[in-house]
Amino acid sequence: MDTSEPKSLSARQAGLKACTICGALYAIDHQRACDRCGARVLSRRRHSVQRAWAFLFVGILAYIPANVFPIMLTRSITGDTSDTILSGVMVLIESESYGVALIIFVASICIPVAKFVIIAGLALSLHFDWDMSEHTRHRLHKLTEFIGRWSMIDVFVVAVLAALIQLGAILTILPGPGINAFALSVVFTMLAASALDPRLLWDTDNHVR
Amino acid sequence: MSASSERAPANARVERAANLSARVSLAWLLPLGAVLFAGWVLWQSYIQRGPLVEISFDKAGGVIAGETRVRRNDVDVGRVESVMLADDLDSVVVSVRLDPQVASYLDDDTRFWIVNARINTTEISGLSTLLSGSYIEVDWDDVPGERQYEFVGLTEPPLTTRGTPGLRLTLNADEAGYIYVGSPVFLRQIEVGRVERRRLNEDATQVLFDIFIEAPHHRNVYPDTRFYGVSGVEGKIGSDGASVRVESIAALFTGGIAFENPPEVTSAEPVTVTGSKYKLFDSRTEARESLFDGEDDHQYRLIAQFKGSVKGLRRDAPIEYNGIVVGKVRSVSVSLPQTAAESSTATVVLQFQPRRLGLVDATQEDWHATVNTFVESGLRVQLATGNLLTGSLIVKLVTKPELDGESIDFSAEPYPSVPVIASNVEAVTADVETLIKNLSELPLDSMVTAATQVLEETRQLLASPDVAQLPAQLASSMSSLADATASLPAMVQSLTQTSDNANDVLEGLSPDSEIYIELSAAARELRVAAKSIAAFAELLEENPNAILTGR
Repeated sequence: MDTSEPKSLSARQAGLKACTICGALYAIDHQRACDRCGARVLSRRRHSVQRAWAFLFVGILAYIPANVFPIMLTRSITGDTSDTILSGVMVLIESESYGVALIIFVASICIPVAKFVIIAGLALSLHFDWDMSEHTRHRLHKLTEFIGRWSMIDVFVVAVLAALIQLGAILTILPGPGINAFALSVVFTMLAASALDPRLLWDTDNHVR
Repeated sequence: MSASSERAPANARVERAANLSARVSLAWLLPLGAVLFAGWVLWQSYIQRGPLVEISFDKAGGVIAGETRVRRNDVDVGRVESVMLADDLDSVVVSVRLDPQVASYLDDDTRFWIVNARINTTEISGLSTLLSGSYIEVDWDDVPGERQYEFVGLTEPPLTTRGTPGLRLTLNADEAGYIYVGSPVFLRQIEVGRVERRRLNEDATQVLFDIFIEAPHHRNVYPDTRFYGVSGVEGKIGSDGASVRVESIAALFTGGIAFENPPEVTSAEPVTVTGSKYKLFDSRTEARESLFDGEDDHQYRLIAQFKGSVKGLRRDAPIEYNGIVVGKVRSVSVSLPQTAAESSTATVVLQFQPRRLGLVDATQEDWHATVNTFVESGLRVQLATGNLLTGSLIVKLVTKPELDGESIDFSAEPYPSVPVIASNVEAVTADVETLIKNLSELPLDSMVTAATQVLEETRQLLASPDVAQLPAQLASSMSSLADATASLPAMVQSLTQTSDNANDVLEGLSPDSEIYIELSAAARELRVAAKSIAAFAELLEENPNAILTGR
């Protein structure tokens, strides 16, 4: 219950709210859409944390089949093989393509898991008012938004291979069911990251100080 | 959170706390839906999961857990889930998850085998598995049966699948010959089936062949159908010349089985019972001459007891009736006589074939009654020479109406005894003996005396006066001949005269006569013709082209 003056002043504390699209400032009781760009003007998005949790939950759920089911089916004259994410990484390691193996492993295992952890951490920190600097929160939030797009590298690899390698009976690569689940997982973690209203991050920060 | 809401009653936290519906975001419907969907997928995949069956194989060549497919007619119907050694470490247990729609056919008719590339003398198959890896083939009939989850895999792929219409039979033979698994089965030299299996029977006294005959040819199999091996070439040299028969070129290398029906049984019903047993004959000839039906039927057996030697009579010697084979000798045995003075008795067991005598489906009583009737009217059993060179004997049924009154001895053991008469062989021997005896009784002394007398009389004849007068008579004959010769010149003269007369006639052709004039005219024309020919010849000499171009 520290009542000391905060280091910085938020728009809300100043009785104002800003349009997040064009930056126009309005009084906090402004009820209409943004006069300049027509977007909704909200001081804080409603249910921001709840929505982040919901999306995160779907993302984690989709991540399970993404790892269990094969993401790529290779059909060749020597027979059919199917690879899950991890088995593909193992194949790459066995064939001594360590660089590619590392990229795939980081993009499809490390990054998604890191995003889950970060988003969950941010949401928890908001919920329990963890003692965390506003910069730390903000950096973590920026990080999830930045690395989120790289998770799609796996989806792109499969899409490009499936499009390019269509040699009929000799060699054909088809996307497996796992890659759909993986793409869903990535999409929902990105939604979760964006559902988290960044303005909440400094609300609590201000309060803690 | 509670702290912050207390701190700033005007801020967003108060708005969120307004009521329950405002406090809970609609976004939660999304994970709820996701959970429900995942649960539904799991439930579906669980209830739609096919049965898991365990198949034990001797060896799991090329079977990979998670990859190897189970196929039926080249369509995937399942996948291998795990491959592990059985508890006894002697075999391999392959767990297979099958598609749910095939589950109802998993009864004891289901067979599994591993398809690998096979290259041997009778087949080349499964070459595609060299690249794609082996798979497990499954076969079942289309009749759902009692569900079964544990199977023993076949080591060899079956040659025909269960659903193939046709007939499976078992043939037995003394030796396997050149017939292998996969050898063809022929009907009139058309391939209509295959040998599926070849094995020994339980006590290893016979070779059993399981064969499959495809529809519709299986309707040609009758209870009397004869099967015989066709191992390449069958040659025959007989009184009508030599013949060579080749069933099929393929059979030259792989051997095969052929079957045919005897002409007289075409009216019978075709065999439909799977696994019916037949005898496999060595050759077509043997099959045709065979008496296979009821060969071991004890009820048609009789014995004949011959006195004296039966040298040359062997097992399988034919029993002939009016030249037709109606049975064969089953065994020949000898019982010692009571005393050495008596001759021994040979007991010959005769296996009859009543069908050959026109008795169809005769019971033992019918058979005995019929034979007894014949015997009472003079039917007898006799030994006869079958082959003069080898001295082999055959058994003949002969009818001697003068010998009626005797009947079958039904008390004889082991089978009823038919009365016999002395064999031809014995009769011939007896004749020769008689001849020699007669020869020895000839009156040689008196014959010599008579011959001497004949010679003496001849000598006396020559010495008689009549014989001495013969030369004088010859001389008179000669003089008559000389007289005849003397009249010849007169004959010559008369011939000359005849000739002269003829000349006169020819001279009578005067120049005025018609013939003369015509002859002269003809002669003139000939001359003219000759001249023309000469001119033509000259022309040709000067200008040979004239013959082509004209003058």
